[in-house]
Amino acid sequence: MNQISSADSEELVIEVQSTGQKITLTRSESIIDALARSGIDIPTSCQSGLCGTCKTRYISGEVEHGDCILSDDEHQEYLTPCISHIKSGTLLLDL
Amino acid sequence: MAGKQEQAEKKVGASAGTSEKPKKLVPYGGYYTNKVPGHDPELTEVGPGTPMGEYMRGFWHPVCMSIELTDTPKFLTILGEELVAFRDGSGSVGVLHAHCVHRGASLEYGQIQEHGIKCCYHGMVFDVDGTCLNAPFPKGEEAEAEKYACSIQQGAYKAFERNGLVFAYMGAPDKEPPFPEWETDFTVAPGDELVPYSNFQHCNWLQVQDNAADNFHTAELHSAKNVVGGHFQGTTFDEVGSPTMEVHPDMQFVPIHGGRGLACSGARRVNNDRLFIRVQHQVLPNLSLHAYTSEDGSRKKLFSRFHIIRWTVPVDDFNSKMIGWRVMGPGIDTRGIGKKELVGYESIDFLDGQVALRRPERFGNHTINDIVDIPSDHRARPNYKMAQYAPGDYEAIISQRPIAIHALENPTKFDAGPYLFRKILRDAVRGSNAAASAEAFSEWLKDFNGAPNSYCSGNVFELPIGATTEEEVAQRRFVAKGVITILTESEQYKGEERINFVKQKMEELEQTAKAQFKH
Repeated sequence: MNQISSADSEELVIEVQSTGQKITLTRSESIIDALARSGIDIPTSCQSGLCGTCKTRYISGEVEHGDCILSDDEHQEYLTPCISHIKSGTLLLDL
Repeated sequence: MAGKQEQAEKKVGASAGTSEKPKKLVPYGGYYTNKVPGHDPELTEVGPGTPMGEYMRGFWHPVCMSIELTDTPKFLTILGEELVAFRDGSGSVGVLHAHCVHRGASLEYGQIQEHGIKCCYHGMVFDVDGTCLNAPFPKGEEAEAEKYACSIQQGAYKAFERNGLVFAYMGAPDKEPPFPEWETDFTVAPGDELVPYSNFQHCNWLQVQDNAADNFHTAELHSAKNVVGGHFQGTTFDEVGSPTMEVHPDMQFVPIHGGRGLACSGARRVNNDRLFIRVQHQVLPNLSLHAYTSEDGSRKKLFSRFHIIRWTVPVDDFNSKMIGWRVMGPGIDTRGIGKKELVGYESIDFLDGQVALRRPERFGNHTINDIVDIPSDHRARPNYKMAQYAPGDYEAIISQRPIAIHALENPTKFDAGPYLFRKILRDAVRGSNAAASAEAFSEWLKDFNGAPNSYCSGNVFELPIGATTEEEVAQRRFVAKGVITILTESEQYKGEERINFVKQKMEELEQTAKAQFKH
């Protein structure tokens, strides 16, 4: 499921739409963890893309989805930040 | 599932950035979670015209055992359709709609003929393909009788017998797929045999299928430590000496064959010297191919094959049957512990607790050759309390509700097997994976002359434990994934050539792991 396409060391960015806050992270950190250390707690449960608890809308960005529950259509608009990764560049989240 | 996601959608906006706990986490707050939403109809309902029901009808399914065909017709419900199955005097097997197309009497009260079956009520005779062979009209009215007979057709499904099972195809006749001859011979070694069995489950088919891809439950449900008060009843792997099945496996789940199946590769450490990699193969929509269930890992073993071939066949939306074959004999069963006298109607040998009747009740006044009555209310069983002491798969699966409610589940990462299987199933049913549609699956089978390769295998590697926990985890995942890669590469070969390829590559994988990890 999780083919690694971005190099572990590549700098990736999460941008929070409502505040403009930018958080940098690398491949080795989950989106959930990066948000948490910046004070944004998204509820999680399974932490592996099965339950949908953390399902979050995104506005733009290249996402490598790792979940087992969202359809291809849903993947265009939503991601599970517990298990999914940013392929490269910036991910703009609807938060 | 949809309901859960909707909840999640609402929640993210509201609670992101706050620490307020949702109502469902309030202590003593059962009040907040006392409403039971509906089941997932797309995957669970199988009646005529439903999405899953139509998908299922694109495949061959076992419908009963050959021993259920006697001198009276066998009444069956399959995919919500009432049927009768019988073997006529000429040896042909009929699977017909139960209700006579004349005026609805059930053909289960009919008389089996040399060709076909005669309805008890007015004597219409139907052949195994549904053709009306005779309508008994008074003398002198034979011409009208003939004309009438030609105007009716009893609903019928193509059926045949194989190794003690009756298979039927219940889809449109012009879309009939090949019967899948997995590995040409279901990997039965010379001297081994396919032994049929049928185990009834009082619940929806999907939770039974879920159980097959749920490789983690064995270390809890089937563990002696969880039997209450020492009331052992043969429901645990400890009792039958298969301790490797008690180890929590480190699983890799990989969709295979274009999303038509799922390979479940589990790594379990046997001891400091050997690593057991068991690959189970789940095939859409309801087949599972299981490697040796009694492995003790006592010696190296590469590419051991099928031990159970199992279809989970929906009876209706609230009942199902596990029907299939146990492979028996010294080829697969290297420990020689299989018990043929425990494999058949409402019984299987690997553990007790697989069906409503436990062995003392199942065999108290009966042999394996008897068609025993099946208790339908699990709580009304005389041995209910004993089953509470040592529950088996049957108790766990059927008590998930008549149809398990996916929207109420809180999965852990270890539930990835069933969840991935549900995903590939949904993609197939919805058409979002065209390759897994029933028609495309049929074409795929034809490409292999109806005999595709399987990923199912049991493998014991001579691999010492990693020097640290981190090394061990990395090593076992490397090997579990490596086995899947080898099996994928081997898809281009068949038979002996493939076996040699796989074994050689596995030897190389063992050497690579030995060199790559610290021990």
